[in-house]
Amino acid sequence: MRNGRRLAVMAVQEVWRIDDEWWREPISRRYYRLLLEPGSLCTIYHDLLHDSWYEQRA
Amino acid sequence: MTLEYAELHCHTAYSFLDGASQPNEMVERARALGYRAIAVTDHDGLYGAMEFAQAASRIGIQPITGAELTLDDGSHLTLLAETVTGYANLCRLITEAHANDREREPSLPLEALEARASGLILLTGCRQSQLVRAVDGGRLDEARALLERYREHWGARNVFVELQNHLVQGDRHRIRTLVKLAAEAGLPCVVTGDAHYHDAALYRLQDVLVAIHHRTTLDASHQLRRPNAEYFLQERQTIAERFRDQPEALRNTLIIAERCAAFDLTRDLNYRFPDANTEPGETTDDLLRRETERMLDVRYRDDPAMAAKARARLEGELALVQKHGLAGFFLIYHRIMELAKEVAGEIRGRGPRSLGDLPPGRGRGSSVSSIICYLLGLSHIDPLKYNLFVGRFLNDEMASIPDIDLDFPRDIRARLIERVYDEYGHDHAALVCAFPTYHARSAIREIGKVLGLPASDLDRFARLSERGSAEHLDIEMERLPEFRNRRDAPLWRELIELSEQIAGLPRHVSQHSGGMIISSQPLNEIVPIQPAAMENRFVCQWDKDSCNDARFVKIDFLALGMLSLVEECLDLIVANSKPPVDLSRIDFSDVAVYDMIGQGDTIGTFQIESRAQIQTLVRTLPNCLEDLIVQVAIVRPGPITGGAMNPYIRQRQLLRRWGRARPTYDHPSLEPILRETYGGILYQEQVLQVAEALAGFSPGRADAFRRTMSRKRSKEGMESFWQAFRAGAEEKHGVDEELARKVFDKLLGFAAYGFPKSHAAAFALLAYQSCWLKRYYPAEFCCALLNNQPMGFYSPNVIVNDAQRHGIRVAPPDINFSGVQCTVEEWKFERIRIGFSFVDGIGEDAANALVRERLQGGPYRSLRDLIRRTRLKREVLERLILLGACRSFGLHRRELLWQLGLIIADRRIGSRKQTDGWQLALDLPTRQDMVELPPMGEWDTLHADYDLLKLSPDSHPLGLLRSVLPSHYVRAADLPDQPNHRQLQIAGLVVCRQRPMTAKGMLFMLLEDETGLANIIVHPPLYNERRMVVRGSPFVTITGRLQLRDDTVNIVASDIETLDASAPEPPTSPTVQSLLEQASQLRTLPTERDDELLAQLRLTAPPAHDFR
Repeated sequence: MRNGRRLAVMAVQEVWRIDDEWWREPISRRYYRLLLEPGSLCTIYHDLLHDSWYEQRA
Repeated sequence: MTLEYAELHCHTAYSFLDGASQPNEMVERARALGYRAIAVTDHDGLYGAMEFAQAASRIGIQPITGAELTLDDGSHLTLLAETVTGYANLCRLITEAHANDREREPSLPLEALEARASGLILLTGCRQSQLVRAVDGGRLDEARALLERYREHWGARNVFVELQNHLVQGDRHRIRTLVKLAAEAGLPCVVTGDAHYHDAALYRLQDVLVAIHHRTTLDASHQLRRPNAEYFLQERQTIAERFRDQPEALRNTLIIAERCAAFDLTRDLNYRFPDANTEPGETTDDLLRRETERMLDVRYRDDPAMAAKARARLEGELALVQKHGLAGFFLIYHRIMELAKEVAGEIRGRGPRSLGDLPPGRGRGSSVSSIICYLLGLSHIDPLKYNLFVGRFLNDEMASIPDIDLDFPRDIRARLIERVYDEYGHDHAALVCAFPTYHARSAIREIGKVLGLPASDLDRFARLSERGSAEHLDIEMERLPEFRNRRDAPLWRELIELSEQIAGLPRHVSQHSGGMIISSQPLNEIVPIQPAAMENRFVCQWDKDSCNDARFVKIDFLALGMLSLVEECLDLIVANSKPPVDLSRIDFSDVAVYDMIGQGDTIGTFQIESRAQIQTLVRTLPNCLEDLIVQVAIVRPGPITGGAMNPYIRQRQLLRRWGRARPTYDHPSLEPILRETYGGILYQEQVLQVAEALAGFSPGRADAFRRTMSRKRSKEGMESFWQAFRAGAEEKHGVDEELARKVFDKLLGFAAYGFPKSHAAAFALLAYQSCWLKRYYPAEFCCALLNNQPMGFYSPNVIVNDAQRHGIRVAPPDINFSGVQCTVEEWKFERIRIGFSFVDGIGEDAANALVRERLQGGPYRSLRDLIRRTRLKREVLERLILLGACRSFGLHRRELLWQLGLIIADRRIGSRKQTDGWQLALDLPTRQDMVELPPMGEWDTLHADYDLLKLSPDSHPLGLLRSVLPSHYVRAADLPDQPNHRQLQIAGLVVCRQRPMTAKGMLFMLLEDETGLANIIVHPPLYNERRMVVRGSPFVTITGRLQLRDDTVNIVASDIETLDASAPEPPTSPTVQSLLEQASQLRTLPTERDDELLAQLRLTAPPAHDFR
């Protein structure tokens, strides 16, 4: 969903994971680089510690 | 259908400070995940390869041997050994990579790998490979050229393009490109995991290891660490999903594993002993027989009865040697001993040390029980005379090569190692390595640092912690009030968890204390070799356990400080114009020597000088060598936890009091075995003999039992032995289960940490000789003891104080009398002169320069003369002055320091950089510029002594403090005269702390004052309450109860405090109180200055020796 509009995911271009800062404020995220219809790219990530989703702003 | 998979690229903890799991953890996890095979590919080494292969074989998963090599540009390539030739090539490559180890990290040019490609499968490497760097950089032509090059040198069927997916950004694209390039080159792909730990939870530890490796913190190492926690051994399902588009790459893991199954490191090493020099037609067994029979005729020529026994014993041992094919093994040792004799002859020359039959080295351990070893000169103890049982060393069913350990004086050992290299060649001989592991203190310091914890807190915590495993820091913190509340605090919590994980992991490569392996074929085809820290020394990459698993002949050349001491003592005796001594001909039954031993007057002697030994000596009163053999063996965890020590002591006391002992035996069959030790199990051989005599174990089974108990015990293994023991005892003697259990438990209690009798016998002989020398040549003995530090139980300041209490004078360093080392001076009386090497900050060069110039140009006449002739640095001159070494110039220390400032006005002049061609300022008299200065007082002198020498020949801090301490404080020398159980106080310098595993948490402390030593016992509650003081204060006051028992003197502490000069009076009885009031009117009151001086002294006082 973006701005109230549903967008279909055409393809998952890339998936990667970051784990860091565990000695302070732990970060554990799984990132997805998505190709959305009608042709835009976006990156979202799943916060694995809090089970929440975010879009990565450029 | 579940994927079948073999992991071909992973790192254990032997990728130092990169891998976070032990080899057995990796293989166990791989097996649990259902992998078909696993390859360990540590960085530039095979350190853990044998350990890994053994672990894998034990649990039934195929091990593959490999390594990840670093090229000159820092990139990585993975190589797997497919054949014996491939393995040999891998070893040679790793050896080459390390050849210039001291100058840089190990690495190789690609050409070197290409030259040794045969038998190796090449995997193109991880993200740090040349191929991936080219791909990531968009340099695809370069990548293509590289693949072509690999194909040319390794062959198309031996090169696989490695595909890795750790969910790192860019992995997908990289994989697609690599697959495409591989297809173009006609090369297959293979999936690898590049795991650096076996379980995901260890990713934090891996981060920490990387930070430690780069000497930085976690905060500052972001770019150096892996981006996520995916570098563990993955589930097969996960691997299948990540590589669902590359099924062939997945299948290739199995194809490679099948190919590599042709080589098994646990089986295919082809190691052989070096050949012996046999005559034509003569076998090694023939040669061994010839040599031993020849020596038998020599050794026993005067005693036909013993000769007959010796012959029978020899026949038995030769038969065992022949059965196990060990003749060559003994002959190598024989050759080594011959080389040792040559070396000893060169070093000793015609001097006093060459007199008599002083062997160049001495055997230790169970080998001393062998008559073959005795006749070949590998042992100096006649096994028949001391009734030594050989089954521990040689028996019918032995599964591994026996160990022969040899002790040498340090100088002989150093040259012998070089001689062995000359004899066998550098390619055929190498030292064994060792892997220091993380313990509590190292874990605290290194992990704490990368976490960013304050350095001072870490240092304090480390110092106050018990030495030992890093696994239980939470318990340590709980015990320390200062740290108790931090256990759940951020970063401290992580420190505890990570320390538990790092416990036991290898930190780096080090050299084993004396093990050397020798081979008939080039060693670097069997195990990689790398330079040791010392010039011209090389270590193999396996430790002693892996060398044993590989069935290498490992010769242990150990440097024994006491042997060096003895040799030096003999030289000093002659240098002091006394007749030379032949230690082989001294009286081994000298009552005066045994009297000295029985009084516990054994500081500095071999093996019987510790606090615990002394307490036992005065109770057992050994009076012959056999008694000393027991003494050496008895103060060990084995006899203590096996419950044999106290009964032995009681029997000795009965013997003394009533003329005979009354030992009891659990069973009549045990009497012949245990009679000499009054019914208790004191020797390892007795464990075997008891198992044989009571339960009918064969010698081999009995030894297997002993070994299982002494290594990591498995519950199943112990249970199996217990069942066999119980059944055997019942069958052989009708023994019931209760009795069998009682005896079995005694064996269990003993077996882990006891000495073989043969070892104790070898050491007892040297112990006696050291006592004899101390008794009759105390000055030479003490001098040699000082010159061979570090060794023994006590620090130099304790040794010097002990010598002085024996009437030996000890003189401080003197510019016109000292040598580099300590010497014995004959003046109006005998005294020891401390050498320049003892002075902190005076190196070998400066010490040699001082002595050399004095010998050439005569005594130094003044400070100016000293400076002019030696050009020593100002700092060195200051130290000499502060120590009073320039007293012969007629000025006291402060005056000399002032004069130094007049002669060398600027600190920079006189430094090494500026001494070439520098001139003293014009040689003008300084008398007119001298000022009147008060001489240094006793405290300042003592402080300088401790600061620069770590000992004080002239005074003891407690001697200086005595007048300001409460007068009721008892002195150490007066303790035996006090009433038993008296409550008292004593103050002193802590010289030793010991907290043995067998003591149930008790700590034993040795306190020294100006009159002697006092034994303090600290029970666990007091230890826990006062741990900071116990561990951290050099000067303490003890409040406690005197315990006089069986000629031992101890104080059982009820309180312990840091000593202050103005210590308050303790609560005492009214009578004593009034006495104190009278006394306090007479004594000197402490001043603030005393406390200040004491505070300074605390900083420089010699540290106590800490033992477990």
